[in-house]
Amino acid sequence: MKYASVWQRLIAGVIDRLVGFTLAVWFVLKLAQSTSVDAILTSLLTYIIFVVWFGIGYLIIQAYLATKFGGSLGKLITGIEITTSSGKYISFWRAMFRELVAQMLSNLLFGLGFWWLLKDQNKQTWHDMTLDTFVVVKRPANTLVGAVVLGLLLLGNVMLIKNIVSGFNQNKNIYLEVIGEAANTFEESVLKNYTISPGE
Amino acid sequence: MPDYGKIIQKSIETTKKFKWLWVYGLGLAATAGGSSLSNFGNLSDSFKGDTKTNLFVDWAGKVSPQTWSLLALGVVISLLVGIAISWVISTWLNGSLIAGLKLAHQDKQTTLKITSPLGIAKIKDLIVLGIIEFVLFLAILIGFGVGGIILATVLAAAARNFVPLVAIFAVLAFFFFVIQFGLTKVLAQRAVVLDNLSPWEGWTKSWRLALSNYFPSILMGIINTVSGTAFGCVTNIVLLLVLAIPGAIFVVPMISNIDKFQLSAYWVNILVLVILLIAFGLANLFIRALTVVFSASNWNLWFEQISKKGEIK
Repeated sequence: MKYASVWQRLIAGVIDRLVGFTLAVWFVLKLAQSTSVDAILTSLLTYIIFVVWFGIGYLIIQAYLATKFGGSLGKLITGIEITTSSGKYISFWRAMFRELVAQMLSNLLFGLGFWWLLKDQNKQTWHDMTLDTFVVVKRPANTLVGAVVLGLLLLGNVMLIKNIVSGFNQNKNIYLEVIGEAANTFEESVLKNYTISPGE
Repeated sequence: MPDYGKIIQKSIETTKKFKWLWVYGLGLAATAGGSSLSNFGNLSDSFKGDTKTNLFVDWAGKVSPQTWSLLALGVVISLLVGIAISWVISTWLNGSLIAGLKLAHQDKQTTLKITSPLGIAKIKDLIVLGIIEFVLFLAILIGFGVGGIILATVLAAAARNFVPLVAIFAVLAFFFFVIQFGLTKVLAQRAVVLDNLSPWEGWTKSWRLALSNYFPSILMGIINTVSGTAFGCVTNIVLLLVLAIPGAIFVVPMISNIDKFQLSAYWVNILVLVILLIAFGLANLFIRALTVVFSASNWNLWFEQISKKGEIK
């Protein structure tokens, strides 16, 4: 059993996060390309709905993938798998617990629990230790595939962000109008109610 | 007279020796820190103002009700999932820490691999215990409220002079119950994890234990709080001195030239200040983690002593 290195796990982890990030950035691009106030607000609403539902759905999908195939999207691309000490895949609820609960512990103090794998002889992070799971290399050649996918995702994101910036620059006046309107609404409906008159 | 010194001494030794338990302390310190952020006041009141037609109102009217429903449903589900997760996190960390401390007091290993499954096994029971506590507390509150109103009405009509006396008695009784409740809560978690009792059995046993050891338990709580706070204060003062002196060196030049302040000229100072603030935050979290472990250890030992009347070795 060959344990996954910190690089393999980092590549997999970043791919997992970048998939969601790319979709979110794509929605922001839609927002940046909107040319009317209505379109901007509709894009914004779609973006919020997407973030809320994607967050829920993505976690369920990742846990399902770990149960069925041994890992999240990033791990499968990078050729690494989460297994128990007996070599089996973890159950759905265990995978959910690992993703949602146990990882919180590893993320504390700038991810100290994650970097712990550099010190541990079984290359286990804190969230691995709490559930007695191991991340092992199943397809060593896939590390390169993971690196390439990561590179493509990064490149794609850079291009998307570039387009977003130019889109925002082109539609600057519309955004200023929306921001101005939002400020007016805020002033009229909120500040006015809390202004204490001298008589009070 | 219980030997509080022995309990504190043992807890200090346990906290120093069993470093894996700090991880649970860290988690609990971090999650408890977040709970104080829930005070948003009456934000909804802010939007009771004019319903003047504007850009947003026009647009909102054009969005289909299904879209709004989708958003509302998503937000509600996210909130519920968030609440459930935070509950699971705190019960798991609490259960693991209590179980881990039991092993530590027996001088056994307390790695995450050993202690975490013990906590996971108790998540369900501790959540049920939390629900029992919530329902009972609510019932007691309502009982006090309704009882108070009835009593006040009867007394106001029959014996007006007794009202202040009864009010003082009612307030004292209320405080007695709140403290009794708090003690039971702490002990019940231990009864469920350490004695493997069901949530209801754990609650009733702990209620009896807290009642029969009411004042010694309050004293334990006070000692626990005071020693934890004193440790936190001293270490934070040291930390402030260590970080505040270099901080002052970087702040003074900025303040003395405040009228000619330029971000580009002081970016190094600002960066150092941000780093110092982060360092303080992390060190503070670590200190709170140690306090959490120490405090939990004290309560574990106290529970063992009053439930089994055992001797602390």
